[in-house]
Amino acid sequence: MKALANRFALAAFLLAVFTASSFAGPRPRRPGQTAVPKITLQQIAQGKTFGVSNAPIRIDAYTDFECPHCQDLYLNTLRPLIDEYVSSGKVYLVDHDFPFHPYSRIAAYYADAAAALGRFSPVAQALFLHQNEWSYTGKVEPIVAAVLSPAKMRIVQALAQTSVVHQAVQDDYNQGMRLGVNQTPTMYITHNGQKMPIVGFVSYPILRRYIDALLHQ
Amino acid sequence: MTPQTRTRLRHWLLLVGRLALGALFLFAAYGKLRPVDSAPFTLASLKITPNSLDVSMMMFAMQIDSYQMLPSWGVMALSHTLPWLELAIGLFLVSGLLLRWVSLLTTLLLTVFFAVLVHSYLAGMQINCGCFGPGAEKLTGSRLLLEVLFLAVALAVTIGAFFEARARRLARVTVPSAGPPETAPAD
Repeated sequence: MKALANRFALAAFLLAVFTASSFAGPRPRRPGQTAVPKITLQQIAQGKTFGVSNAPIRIDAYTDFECPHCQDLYLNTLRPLIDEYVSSGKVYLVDHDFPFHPYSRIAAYYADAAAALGRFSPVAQALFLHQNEWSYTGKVEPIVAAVLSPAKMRIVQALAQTSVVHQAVQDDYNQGMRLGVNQTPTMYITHNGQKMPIVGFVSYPILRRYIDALLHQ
Repeated sequence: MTPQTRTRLRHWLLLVGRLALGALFLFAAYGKLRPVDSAPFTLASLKITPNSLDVSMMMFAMQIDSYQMLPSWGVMALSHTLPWLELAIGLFLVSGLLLRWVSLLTTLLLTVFFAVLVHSYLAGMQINCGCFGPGAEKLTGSRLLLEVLFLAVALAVTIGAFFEARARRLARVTVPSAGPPETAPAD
């Protein structure tokens, strides 16, 4: 009788261990299921910076993926700026999300998720380039998928739903609000510790001359 | 109200109007020409050097550019001339020299500014006015109302200046033909 009780106790113990391990341990991945990498807010922020942080001029750009003037600024001013001034170490560019249009927050989630994987530039460029296609429907995914590999897209899709990415977008927005941003695009140009707000679209030839004047000061 | 009182009142109103407009234009020029990295109304803001001027004017150029109305060369030309023009207008208004023509120019300039601001406001452009140099100066309905007030003052000064000049001219013409002044009969 005592032996039987011992066997029952042993079986119950084993069952408890098995149940606990099945809950606590990593679940086996089903075929086709994507592993979501752990990302941090710093990783996302880093993915949205261009150039070296000790450059003489720092530009913080607050943009909204759905705003037409932000599209103009990104494609016609910031892209050439990256090619000419950021790559030569004169300007450090930091992109910030400031979404307030209906679908721009969703777009920002995808862009920030891509930033964590080091793919912010192509995604942001695609979102701005095809702004007219998704800004009425909110169908951001096909636009993003066109510039990422299927494997990367699956990760970005999964990351875009995570609280870290949502937090990164909200942090950018809150930071902008604290600085007094109330319209997009808004750039803050910092030189010698002085931060100057530039509101609205600025064409590249004019921004370029301003940067040159600052560098020669 | 006697004609003399009316004349005196008109004279004082014209003086106050032109001084207010002059101060406004001097402040607008100062805002655009002062070093962008200096706080307004400080000694540092008066230390204007060729380099600081270059930066200030380019900052103003970016604000003009945000209206998206002019090509780059137009933006550059305007950003490098308008602050000096405002400075000159301000000095002329304060001194009262060539008042009729300067006030007329002021009215025309403010009309152009008002038209540009209304156009941008109606187009829903979310930009800074840039009227008094760098800094957040959002283009709002109240900003437009302020511009209407400036324009009204400029128009009043212009009309007053022409009226006063005409009155002076008439006085010059009528005084010689009036004959010898009446003398009191000797007791």
